Parts: sequence; structure tokens; C-alpha cells
Amino acid sequence: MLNLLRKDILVQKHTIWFALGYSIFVFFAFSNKTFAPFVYIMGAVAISYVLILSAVQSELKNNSDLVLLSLPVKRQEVVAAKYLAILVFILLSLITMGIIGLIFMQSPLPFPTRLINWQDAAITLVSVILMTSIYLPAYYKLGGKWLQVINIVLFMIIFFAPSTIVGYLNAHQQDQGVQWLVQTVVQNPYLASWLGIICVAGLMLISFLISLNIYRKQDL
Amino acid sequence: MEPILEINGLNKQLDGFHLQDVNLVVPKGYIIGIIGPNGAGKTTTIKLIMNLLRKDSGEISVFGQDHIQFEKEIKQRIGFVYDENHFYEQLSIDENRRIIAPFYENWDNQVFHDYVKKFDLPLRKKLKDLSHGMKTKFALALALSHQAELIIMDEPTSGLDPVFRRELLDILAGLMQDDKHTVIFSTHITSDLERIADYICFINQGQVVFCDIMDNILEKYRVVKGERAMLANQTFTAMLSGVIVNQYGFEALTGQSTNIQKSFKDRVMMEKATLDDIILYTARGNGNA
Repeated sequence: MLNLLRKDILVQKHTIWFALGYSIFVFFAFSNKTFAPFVYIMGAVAISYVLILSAVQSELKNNSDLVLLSLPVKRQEVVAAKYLAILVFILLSLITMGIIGLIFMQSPLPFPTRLINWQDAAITLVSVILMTSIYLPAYYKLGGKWLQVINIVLFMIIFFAPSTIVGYLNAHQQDQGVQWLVQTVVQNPYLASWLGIICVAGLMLISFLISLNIYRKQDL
Repeated sequence: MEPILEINGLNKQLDGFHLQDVNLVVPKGYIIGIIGPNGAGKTTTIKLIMNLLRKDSGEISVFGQDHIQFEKEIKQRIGFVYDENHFYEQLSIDENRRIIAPFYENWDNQVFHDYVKKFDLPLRKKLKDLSHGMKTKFALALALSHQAELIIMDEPTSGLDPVFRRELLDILAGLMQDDKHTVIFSTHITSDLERIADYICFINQGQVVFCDIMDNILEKYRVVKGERAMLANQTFTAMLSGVIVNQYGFEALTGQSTNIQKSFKDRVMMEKATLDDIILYTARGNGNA
């Protein structure tokens, strides 16, 4: 399992340079007041997602699954390692963003205004797991030919989901469930974050089981 | 003779192709050639052994163990070379080695570097910048660096020039001298196998036609030539396969040369069949030869 994880890191040495470059760029690109509070999240989500996509695409390029499954590994290990890689990439992207942010804070440059915090980490974790929990089963089921389509669909979800959710909450302000949710988030952001994390952990587990079921039956 | 691979009643249905009831016993310490025309089922059989394709029914045991239940243990002892490169093209030879090596308990870096030197492989060059022959050499170096007892090669010589093909065959011949290895080698270039294989399995249209020691096969099969009028004799034609009729007469393959020799000695001419002849005539038509 650790060898598979190590492989997912080694296959994308160029992407790691991109991640480092992007983590610097993002502070400049989103230095205005509107975006600055979200700079850590925007940076970490983008870097994690690119690293995951890059790991998946490196297998697709040469149909390297044929090599992986000819090695002494089980199919469930290949899938489990991919999900474990998601967590590792999130952690790496948060550490990178945190360190770059700290360096910028020590510099005479006027940004950022704060250090990375646990809320940045929680929102990054929830967002990336949400995306990849949809992405990976779709990738295992549909394969490389549909990868671009999957990416576009996910991008649309990321783009439109927040406004749709806010619109839904506004339209259902009188609902007891909605009121409880809004109150909880406002009054107890820690609890809200933990609820979010527990929900995506459940989603990730379901996603893993679906991917595993697909991959176990797959002919290469 | 201890079998290293046993296949019983193996079936696999794919789009437009059916591997039917394959039974094989591969003895240890031999070079086994799997031959057959393109699309006959050679790669499908190899992929099923490696569990890259899921079998519909049947049993496969490698080193006496079920190939799925003991998949990891079995694959520790298998080296593989496929017809195309499936390693990471964007990485160098050494970077690919760093990915693959930790998976094997018996990986030996010294052996790998000896092969790198022997094959003249540029360690720092990316795979995408290597020729097809170099990529095959790299795959072979990986396959031979973890003390694998069974080397499975799927069309390793296809697309290679004759010089490298010869080099590869010499390497395999050298490998067999210590009696520790068994090689399964699928190809449609039969001349490669006539040089090195001890045992031949012929697959055609998803079915095993025969599996036997090379000398027995070459002894058994003959190309028969004679006058067209002889084809009217049903007893005679029942012993033929892949009959070609031309203006001078007919040509066919037979596996019953002794019977033909006895009964039709004066009316036919027989020549030793090559593996190519056997594939060609068998693929052309179903007979009883």
C-alpha cells in the first residue's frame, strides 16, 4: 500500500513544481480584500485537485494499470491507495500553503493578513473529498475517454453548487431543518466543521466501496 | 515433471471473442511458446493468468496455488514483459526502477544494474525517448531482477528488428542454463520459437489445438502435396487440414503422416512442417489432421 502511495508521488515530479509555483502565485492573484480571506482554501483546493488528477492521468497515459496489477498487489490495495493519496495530497497542499503564507507574513509584502487556520483546513478537506468522491468512481467506471467530461461536470458542480445551496437556504428560511443548520453553523462553527468532516468521511467511504466494486470486476 | 502452471476448463467471453475450455499444463524449467494467429487468444490467456482479465469459469494455478487466492505470493515470483510499454513514459529508467523495485521482496539492485550495463540502457533517459527495443530491454531487466522463477512474455519480439530479436532469444537461452527459470513466450513469429522453445502450445480461435514438446510436434506434422483427384477420397481428406487447391494439385497439413504413408505412399509427397506451416494451414480450415 505504501509503495503505491509512494508511486503516486513519484510519478508527478513536474506537478509538484507547479504546486509550489501556484501556491506563491495564488497570494498575488487573490490579494484583494474580497478574496484574501479565502486564499488558503483556494490555493489548497486547487493544488490538491491538480495533484490527484495528475496521479490518475499518469496511469492513463500508458495504461499503467497493466503494470500495477502485474506487480504483487491486490486490486483493493490499488483503489485504497488512491483514496489514501487524496488525504496525503490535501495534507501536502495545506502544508505548502501554510509555509508560503508564513514566509509572506515575514516579508515586507502587504499579504496575507493571517496564518492558515483549522477552518481553512476543514473547508479544504470537505471540498476536495467531495469532488474526488465523485471523480474517482466515475473515472474507474468510465475510464480515460470520459475523463475530460468528468472534469467539466465537476467544475460545473463546484461553480454552481454554492449559489444553488445558498439559493435553496434562502428559499426555505422558514423550514425548521434549515433554521437549525444555519444557527448551528453561525453559533458553533467548530461543530459545523466536524459535521462537515463526518459527512464527507461517510461519502468517501461510500465512494471507495463503489470504486472498489467497479475495479474488482474490471477487465484490463 | 512438476507443472509450474495448470489451467483447467478456462473460459472467457469478450466482445466478439470467446476463449473456450482451455486446458494447459506447463512444465517447470522449459521455454514454452504460445503460438497462434493474431486474435487467436494468446494475449487473453496471458492476461487471465495474470488476473488482468477476470475469468468467467475455470481454474488457474501457478506454482501449485490458486492464482487469485495467492495472487501476491505468486506475483512475487513472476516477471513480465508485454508487447507494449506500460511503464511511466514521462519518467526515466531509474525513476521507473525506483517505483517498481520496492514491490518485490527479492529485488536485487546489483542484478538490475548488471542488466542495465549489459543492455546499454541509459539510466537517466526518459522512457518516451527510448526506442521500442530499448523499452523491451528495460522491461526484461526489471523482470529478471527479482529472482522470478516464471517469466511471462506477451509478444515481446513484435515490432523489434532481427538483431534485437536474436539478442533477446540469446538472453532467454542463457537464462535457462541454471534450470531455475520457466519462460512462457507468446508470439506469432514462430521462427523465434523454433530456435529456443522446448514446448509449444498452439491456440486458434480461442481454443487450444495442441500442447506438446517441440520435437514431437515437428515429428508429427507434415505438409502433404498431391493430385487434386485424391481429394475425392474421404478417408484421405479426413486426415488433412487447411487444404489449398491450385492448378497443379493440392497442399494440406496432416498430423497423421504415418497413416498417409501406409495407404497413399506412392501418390503423395510429404515434407516436414514448420510451426509457420502448422499455424497457416490450421488457421485456414478446420480439419481432422
